[in-house]
Amino acid sequence: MKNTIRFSMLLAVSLNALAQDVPAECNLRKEPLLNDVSLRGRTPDYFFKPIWRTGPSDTRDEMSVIIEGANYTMNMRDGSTRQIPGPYDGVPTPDGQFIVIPTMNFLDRNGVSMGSQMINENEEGRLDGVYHSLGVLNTVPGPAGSKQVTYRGITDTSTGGSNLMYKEYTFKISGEGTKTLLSTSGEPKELCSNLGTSIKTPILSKNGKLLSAYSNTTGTTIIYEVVQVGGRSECRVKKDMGFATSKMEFSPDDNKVVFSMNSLPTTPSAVNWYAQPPQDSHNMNVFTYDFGTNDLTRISNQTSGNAYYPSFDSDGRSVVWMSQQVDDNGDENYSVRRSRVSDGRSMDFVDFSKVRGCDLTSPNVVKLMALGKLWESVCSQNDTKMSASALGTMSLAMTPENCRNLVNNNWENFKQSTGMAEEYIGADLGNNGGFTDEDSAKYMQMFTALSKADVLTTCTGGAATPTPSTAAPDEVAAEVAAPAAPATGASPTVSSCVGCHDGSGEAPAIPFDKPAELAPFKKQMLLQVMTGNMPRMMNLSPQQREDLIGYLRSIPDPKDQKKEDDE
Amino acid sequence: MKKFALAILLLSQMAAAIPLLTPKETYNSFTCKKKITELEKNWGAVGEWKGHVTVEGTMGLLKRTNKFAHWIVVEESNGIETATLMNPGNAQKVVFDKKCKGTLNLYAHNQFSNQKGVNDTKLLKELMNNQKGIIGLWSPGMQHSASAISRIEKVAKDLKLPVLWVMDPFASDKVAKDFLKSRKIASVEVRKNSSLELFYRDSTMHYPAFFVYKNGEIKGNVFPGLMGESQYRDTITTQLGK
Repeated sequence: MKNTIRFSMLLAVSLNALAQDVPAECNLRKEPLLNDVSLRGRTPDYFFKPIWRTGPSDTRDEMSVIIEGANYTMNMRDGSTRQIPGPYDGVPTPDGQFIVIPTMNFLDRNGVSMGSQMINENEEGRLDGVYHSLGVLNTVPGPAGSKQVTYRGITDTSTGGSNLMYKEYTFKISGEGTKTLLSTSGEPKELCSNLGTSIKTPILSKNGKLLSAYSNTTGTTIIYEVVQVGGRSECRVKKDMGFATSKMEFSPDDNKVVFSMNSLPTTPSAVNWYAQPPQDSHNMNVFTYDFGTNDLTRISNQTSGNAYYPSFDSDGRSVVWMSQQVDDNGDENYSVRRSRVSDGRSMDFVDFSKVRGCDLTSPNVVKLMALGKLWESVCSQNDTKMSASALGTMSLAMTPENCRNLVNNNWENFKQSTGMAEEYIGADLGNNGGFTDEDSAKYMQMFTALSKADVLTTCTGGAATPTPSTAAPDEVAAEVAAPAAPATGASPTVSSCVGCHDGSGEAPAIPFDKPAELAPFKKQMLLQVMTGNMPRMMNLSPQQREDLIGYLRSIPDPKDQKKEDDE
Repeated sequence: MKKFALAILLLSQMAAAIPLLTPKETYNSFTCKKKITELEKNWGAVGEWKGHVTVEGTMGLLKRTNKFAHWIVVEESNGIETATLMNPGNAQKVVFDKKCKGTLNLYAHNQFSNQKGVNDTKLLKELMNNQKGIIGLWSPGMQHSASAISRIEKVAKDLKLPVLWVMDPFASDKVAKDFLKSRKIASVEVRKNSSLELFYRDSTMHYPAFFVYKNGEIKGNVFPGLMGESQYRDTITTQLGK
């Protein structure tokens, strides 16, 4: 377990983080962090929202944060901050036009400062309460670039004895950005009237039609649809997450949610996981959930300190969160981090726990393991051995160029080194990997037979964009000539299919190395990929899945192929 | 080396997707569920399974037992299914092989190193010493904690209930002391949560929050979020009446 985490870390390590005496080819891909903005030693509160952009021409990159008991906006480019009204909870509207502070006081986001006036200062029938959030119900374009926008705001008004309440606000926003409150829906009304006081820490979705909240009845976080029944607001369960999470934020299109939750290891391995958090491995990480694909995706992978209080960016493609780092003295430092949800490279994670029916002694897996062990031998600075899954997926963490250099520069020495064989199998491939003695013998036999050219075939760089090869012509030739390499022109993702489908394991044999013979498998392969059942060895980004489906579709139909053959 | 690893860990980010299964689907996905069911009985499982995401990002399950601070965790990782009885003293982890033959591994904890915190021993003592009471969870990172402390203490005083205040384990002692001092809150001590029972009851998801207890047992799920005085009173009274 620990080693798998370590692999995750390796996948993401910064190029510059490796010590100077490690060869350049050991450097792994850059981590997909887009930003890491330090809070410069200050301790933030647990409130933390990106202020979304108002449109394509809006280049601002700001967060609304609470620092030491006061609201601020923070520039994500340089970390500078500016204080704004209110002691807490400056919630930006989804269209980036307002920052709304309790009790539903709308501040114009443009030029917001300590002197800013509330735009709805004279509003009657205030929506009191805490934990406010807002969605955009409707936008009507008007003349000269103006528009009318209707927002739904909700709060938990348990301070007044009832539960969730809502109210709607229509503003006119002129072409120049001047904002005027036109009307409201009147007195606050009860939200989710069918649920009473059972739901807590609610957040409204960006279109105002979904709601995430913790249910005290089930002890889980639930996403509800907000509907009107007989003039009353009711909430119907859309998805019960099955576990409790932090407050859950929605993506701009309301198709995904992001949240943080605990990681609670069950193997303490001499650490005291819950007695001295957060120095130990009990901590929080950021996840997204996609309603369309039912995918739960881990975005952060901190094993010390926490990654929490996440939100989506306005483009919906990246997530920002607060990262807490703890040094050896137990001192904490905080930063704001941003990462792509669907980074093509960061998604190249082989979850071996899902590999069923894939024989770890199949030729391609043995090659992948060998590359991993080579990297560990030459490059690793850690004391512990890497796990089977870490070894088998190292190729995904390497650039093709560094992979080739690593193999070309070190393979022969590695293979001839004393004790290499014992090292190679290692504890992780023994009992923990479910290996029998027979498996181990077969494994070692195959490993011993591997040549440099064999291992070079693993240097595909996973599903990453291919980079120009700097290898010598004979090495390139060796790669192309290797029997198990995917065919030229195939989707790079196909390389991950070869390991299980080469006929040596339980998975059905598919001749990926012979595209001309793939036609009979086309329909079944498309079905498996389009339903998300395959490939099991990697989690594809939407783009990767699209590319793979495109490639599979490009395979001639069996009938077409018959025609071609006849002609 | 360890410092190096820590530095890297702190930098690391990654994404890995898994299908979100319901607790029932997750349970049914286990090959060794018959053996798991036997263990459940032996370990005194109580109530329904709850979902749980493992350290490696796979779906797992949690269930409480009839013993205080004893929780069952069922997981699958690297193709290996395990069932673990977590308790303050140790983790009894049964690792199943391909034929669902289980091997028991024991991992000792050292919970008592954190004497300043609220560990399970201290928590149980509190629960046994009082017939009923409130466990308040607070964090200096959440501004509403100050209001919650004030309101819960007032309600508790009216209802003659003791309150055990437990702090966010991830907050700094110094920041916590400054928070309490600046808000003139003298009744609350800086004592971090280090209780397995509270962790598995989702006590770290949001602050402020609270539990109520009666006859040595925590009643129901956590109540996260700030409430008004009247709702605190109603909720606490209702929970204690159950």
